[in-house]
Amino acid sequence: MDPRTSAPQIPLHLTALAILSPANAPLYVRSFTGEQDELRHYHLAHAAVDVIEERIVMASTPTKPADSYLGLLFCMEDMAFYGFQTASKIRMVLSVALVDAMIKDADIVAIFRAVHHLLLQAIHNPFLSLPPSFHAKHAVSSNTETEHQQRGQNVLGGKMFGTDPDDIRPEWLKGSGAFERGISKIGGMLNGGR
Amino acid sequence: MSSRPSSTSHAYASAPTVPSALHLLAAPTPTLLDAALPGYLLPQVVRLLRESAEHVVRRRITREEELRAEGLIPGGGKGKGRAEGDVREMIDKEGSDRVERIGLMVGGYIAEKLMVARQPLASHLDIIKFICKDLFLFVYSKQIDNLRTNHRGVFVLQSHAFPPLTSLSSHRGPAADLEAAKAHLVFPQALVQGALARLGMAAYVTAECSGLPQCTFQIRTVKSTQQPPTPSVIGTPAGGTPQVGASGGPGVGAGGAGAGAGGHRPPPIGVGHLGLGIGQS
Repeated sequence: MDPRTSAPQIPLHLTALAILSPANAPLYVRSFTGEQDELRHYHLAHAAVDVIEERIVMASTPTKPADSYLGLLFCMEDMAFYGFQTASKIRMVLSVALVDAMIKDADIVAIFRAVHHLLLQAIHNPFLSLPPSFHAKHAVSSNTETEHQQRGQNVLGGKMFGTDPDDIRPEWLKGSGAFERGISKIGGMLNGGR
Repeated sequence: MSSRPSSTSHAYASAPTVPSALHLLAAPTPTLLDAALPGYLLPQVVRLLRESAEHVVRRRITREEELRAEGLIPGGGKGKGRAEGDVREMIDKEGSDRVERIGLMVGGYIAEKLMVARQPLASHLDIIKFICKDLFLFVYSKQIDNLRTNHRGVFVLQSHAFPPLTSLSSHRGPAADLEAAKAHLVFPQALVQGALARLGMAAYVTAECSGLPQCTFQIRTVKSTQQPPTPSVIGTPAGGTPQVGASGGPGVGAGGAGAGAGGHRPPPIGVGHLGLGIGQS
């Protein structure tokens, strides 16, 4: 077992996680305290956006852009909000239940990096951006004519293989089982006894 | 590509503040891949896409011929049908478009993965150095040998023994080798362009090969009015969307931006001897 369990330490509880696109559109909002709080956390994440923008302007100089980890943004109600911006300008807002003890920056950065890795795993799937005509079909189907027509469609048109962070659609993240499970695992690790 | 990071699952270690399992999740051990594999797979991909493009183009042509025979499309002055040379060109273009799409996407993904634990890159030069060192090392196990810039937005990356081209040879002589090399340079060119786009630098990339196995990438930045480190303002599009000029020449100051006027020659390259035939971009 982990030898650190014997030392008295205060557990860290995550309350919510929000992922926003470069244009501040919400890509993923997850509340660790229950479904009923999801809307509230969604609104609070939006309130955090202003602070993020301000923090980035403050922290960046012409020679050195702002660091990825934006630190503690603000505290509201009983939660502390932390911000993070990835290299492709995707923003993440994490809210943690306030505790009296000092929370190490390194821990929060580790949480953000873990979420970032999960996000990359989910997004870097080239099949996500393909049109529905590329989805798998049954080998034996009744209506073969429409299938042939669909396959004749122009392959290069549209947003296939979209490469921008702006092209990420929220349903990709909600629909990805691996992503949801990963986030739940992170939440489980950090929920202590709640 | 010699290594590819992935997340691995860990048992729930009941440590109070932040469990060590989380730190392991934050910096997962990368899974490794045989470095020779892409060298085997990519030429086959190029060939397969070329075949698929041929099929599509020929089908499109036969359909057009049918419609033309029925009189639904005006025949035009094209004559009885397209010359075989034109068809070849169309097929080549279609095939290389597909490879380019894939390259753009993969370049973006690689750039994003490599940037995970790094400080954000400040200037254009830093981004280019990242491409020269880290991206090429990751993909081809070999850095770029020579980087030159004229400090006005044009960068030239030179590789003396570019891995995809080192084993390229045919029985038809060096001229045919150069032709074949062009097909194999589409993917690396798109890789670089995709990575640049993902890192926030708008640029045009061209790949040239003057003598196997040497290869040169030319990167031309498109000057927009905003510098990369400046945060973007919400809701407003970037002031002065990059001009998609035919020459794509970098402008010193807003006035110099080639505003799409035809025949706009690129500014003379100053620093460094660039004895390359910089062809029509």
